[in-house]
Amino acid sequence: MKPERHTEYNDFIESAYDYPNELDYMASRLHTRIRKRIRRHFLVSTSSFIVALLLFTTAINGSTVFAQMVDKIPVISSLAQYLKFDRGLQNAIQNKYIQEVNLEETVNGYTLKMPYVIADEKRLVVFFQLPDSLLDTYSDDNFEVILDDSVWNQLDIKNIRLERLTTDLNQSTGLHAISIRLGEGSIPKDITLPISLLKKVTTYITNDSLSRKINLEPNKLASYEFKLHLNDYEESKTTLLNQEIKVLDGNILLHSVTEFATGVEVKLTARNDGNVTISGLEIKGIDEKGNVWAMPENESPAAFYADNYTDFIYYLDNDYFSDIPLASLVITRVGMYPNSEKKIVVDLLEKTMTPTISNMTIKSVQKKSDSAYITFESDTTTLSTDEIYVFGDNYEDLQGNVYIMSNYQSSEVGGVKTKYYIMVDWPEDNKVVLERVATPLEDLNEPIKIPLPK
Amino acid sequence: MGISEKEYVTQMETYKKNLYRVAYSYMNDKTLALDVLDEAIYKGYINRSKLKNQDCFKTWLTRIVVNECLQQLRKNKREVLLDEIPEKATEVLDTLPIKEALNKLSNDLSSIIHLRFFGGYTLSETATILDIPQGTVATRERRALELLRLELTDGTNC
Repeated sequence: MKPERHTEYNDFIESAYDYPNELDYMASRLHTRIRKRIRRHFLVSTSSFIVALLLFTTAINGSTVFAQMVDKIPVISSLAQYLKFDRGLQNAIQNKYIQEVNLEETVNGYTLKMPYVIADEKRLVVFFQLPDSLLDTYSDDNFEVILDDSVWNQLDIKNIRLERLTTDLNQSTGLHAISIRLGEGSIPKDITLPISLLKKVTTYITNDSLSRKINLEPNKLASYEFKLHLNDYEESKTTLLNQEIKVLDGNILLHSVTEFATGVEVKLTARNDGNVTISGLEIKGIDEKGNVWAMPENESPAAFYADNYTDFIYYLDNDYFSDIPLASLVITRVGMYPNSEKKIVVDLLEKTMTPTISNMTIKSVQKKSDSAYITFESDTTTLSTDEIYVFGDNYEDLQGNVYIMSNYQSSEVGGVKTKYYIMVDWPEDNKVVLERVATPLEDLNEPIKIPLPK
Repeated sequence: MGISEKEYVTQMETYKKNLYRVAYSYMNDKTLALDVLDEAIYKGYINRSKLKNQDCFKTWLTRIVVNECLQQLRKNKREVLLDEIPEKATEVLDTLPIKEALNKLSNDLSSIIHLRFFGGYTLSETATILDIPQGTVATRERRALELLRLELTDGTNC
């Protein structure tokens, strides 16, 4: 071998060992994408939450109490009114299970206040008050308060919600909240929360005669670090069950029910190794007085999908402080589809799905540049967050190569239908294979009641 | 089986340098290598439930990186298939700069070089990643080095 050939080779190898700095932030970039995936799920559900709040406001619009709260940090006694969507949190606050921290930081001229936190072993809810200077010019709908990526390296976050707390779409309270729920481990008593204040950047796109608002990369106004020391948590109460439950043609293994100060966790595994996959359930708790406890509005269960099973954690409201224990669980609805319909081949030219999905059709396929814009329409509405996404984020070509979807959104049509918009690279053979991950929940003719041991 | 999110990130951190070197050798560009690696790491994450055996994490994720590199190269229309290499391939490759010559090799042959000499993978790991027998890895390695006019050893004993 010529010496110069060897030198050339060595140089090439050495250049591979010259690692770029960005390699240090791979985990951070991964967490950003995961977070966006989770947040996207949340953001779609927010709109219906605000509609629900609007209806609530109509009922109380004669009250002057709410008008007085505008532009002020609410006192603890009135804070619960902003948390109508989560009875577990409301009950915790009404029982004084809330920590007044009164922290504030000023960065780049923006003062962000953190008046309160609520925490138990698995859940942390932090409240923020936006800077007054911003609210003088804009509605607080233009801003977001988010947890920075580094938290995802420290905690096993399974569920996150970012809430703008208001009782009226036109009212800018400047009050925001972040709620995180953990899988493994518990919320540390001493924790530093890296927080960013963002200004949203949006645009509108028109497709299929519908104009939709699209969120672009937001502008970061300031980054903060809030150091928290949390009070002792109320003790959780776990009931181990390990009980097999038959749900139509499927089976679930109910592991445990745990009552925390701010809500209940129900852990279960859906076994999908038979003929069907269970993609979601509606579960409620009933206490000994007959009170019914459901999921907080627009809450999603944490789900870990595998080939033959799906692990779920369902979250229910509760009143931990009432001393009325849960007596039973009831499964009222189920989302289930045959395993033979897990992979759906979409023929972009013929506009067909194989196998077909009941209640769902391909409305249109448009080719733009090298991309295919597919619009599906289903006869159901997105009443539950479980029903928002029917397909997974990745898709395949017929050769089994996996791709990530460029875009995926859904919207309700007139309250009776849902449209799903998907953008994929247009394949040479005009066919894409979509993976079905969910199906709308349907009522069980006979709800399944599971008594809990006393 | 699958792997938890936390374990996925821990293991990914352990092997990211090997994975980067493989991606770099395929893409021949730092930025492209990072882009491909980000995409592959994300794909691995969303498919982590499909990992049958946690002991195979390294080879499993490397295979995803290799597939992503090949897919990206196909997109860039830079791939030259084996049957396009002219009869007198040795002469052509011998006169080319090594990076270019490596790109001219078929995927079957170049993958061995990328994994063995850039990634530092053993014969056994390379065989697992490419889903071929170890003997085939050894044969292809000899053939690739011959075509590139290189006499190399990775120093590993498998």
